Amino acid sequence: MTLNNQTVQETDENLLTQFVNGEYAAFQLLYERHKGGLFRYVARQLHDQNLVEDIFQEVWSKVISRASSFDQQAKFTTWLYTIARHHLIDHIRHIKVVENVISESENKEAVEGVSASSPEQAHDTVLQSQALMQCLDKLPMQQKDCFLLKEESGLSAKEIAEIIDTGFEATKSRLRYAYQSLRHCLEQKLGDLLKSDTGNKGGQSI
Amino acid sequence: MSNQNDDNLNDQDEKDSAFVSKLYQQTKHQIPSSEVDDKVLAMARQHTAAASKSKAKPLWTKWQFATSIAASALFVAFIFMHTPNEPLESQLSPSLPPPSASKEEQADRFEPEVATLRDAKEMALLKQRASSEKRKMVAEEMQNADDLEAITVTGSRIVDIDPYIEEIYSELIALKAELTESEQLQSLVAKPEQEDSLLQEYDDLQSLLFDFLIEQKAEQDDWQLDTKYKQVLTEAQWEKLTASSQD
Repeated sequence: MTLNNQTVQETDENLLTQFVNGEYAAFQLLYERHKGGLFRYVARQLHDQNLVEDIFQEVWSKVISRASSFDQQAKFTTWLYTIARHHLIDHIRHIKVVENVISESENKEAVEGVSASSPEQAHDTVLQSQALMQCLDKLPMQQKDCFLLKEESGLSAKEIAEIIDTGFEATKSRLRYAYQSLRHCLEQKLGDLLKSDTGNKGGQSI
Repeated sequence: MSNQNDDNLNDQDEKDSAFVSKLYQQTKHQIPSSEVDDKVLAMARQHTAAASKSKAKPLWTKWQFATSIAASALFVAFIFMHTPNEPLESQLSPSLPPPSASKEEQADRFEPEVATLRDAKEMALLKQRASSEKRKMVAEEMQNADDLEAITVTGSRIVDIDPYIEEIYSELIALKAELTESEQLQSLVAKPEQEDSLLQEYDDLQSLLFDFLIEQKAEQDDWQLDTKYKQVLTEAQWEKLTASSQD
């Protein structure tokens, strides 16, 4: 069986079961599927690259050691990101509190008083990405967490609510505020060029 | 109005999320380094190898602790089942050896008695040795007396035999006691040939005493046979002596 065929046919849950039964190749597939999203989920909440790599490895170590206790009725992605989130919180609990305070105060400034840095370069994708990352860093931690779970794992609001152990409505609100804040922040940063750029793309506009 | 506002807000939310999401997906390129990949995959490989090793282990090694506990319980149960009444029997008849006791244990139980009997036997042998030496001396002296008698012409005895009679009598009494004691010992430790030698000595002394008494009777006119000699003489000897004394 080729790797591509397995990728299409096997679900995450089946791959994990195969790994528990001793198939190393199944884990390789599972890792390839989720390594990018999980790595970015960790990396975009921390700024220390070494710490990101350490936590990323520790999360996978836990996945490996706890694979035999995985509930087949559960969704692998939910389980994986729950482990990652708990691990992340354990490591940066004190940092998170500090960043939360800083982030909230800076976020107000970013949304209310910051002007666009360079409207001339608004068409540059790199510049847009940089702006997005800057805006993302200014998000409150809870909103940022929900946003990253949504974007990196592709989970629904209900599944995210399960991971962050919060109500469905509260999760939806956090997601809505996260996207709104990011949108406003990007408008502030990129200005009119962003509006014209989105206007040219029709349906994908704001 | 409010519904329209809500709808507008929802539309606006969807637009916001679509725009931001699109932009975010364009930007994401960050992935773990190959070094991190290798480390994670090595962990998985190690885990798989360990799991296959544990599967390859014999079944009992997975249950070592439980097996040990079960074996211990079975052993204790076996001990209790096979020796349930031993303490009770010991209490009821402490002097008797337990039925399962070996011959060596039984021999150990009789060791004090056997030791006592051995001591008694050794004492008896010492006495016997001493008495036999005495008898030798007496016999030598009597031999000298016989020689002297043969030399004398008058017929009167030079040597008085009365002390010898008494001495032989005492020896016979002692020997008889030894013989009696030897009969008791014989069942356990004494050897038959030792008793035979004692009997032989006894017979010799008995004959010697009889001869001396006959001789004494012949020499003395007013000779009276003491009844104490009856216990060391045979019935035939006693009858001869009494008959001749009556004559």
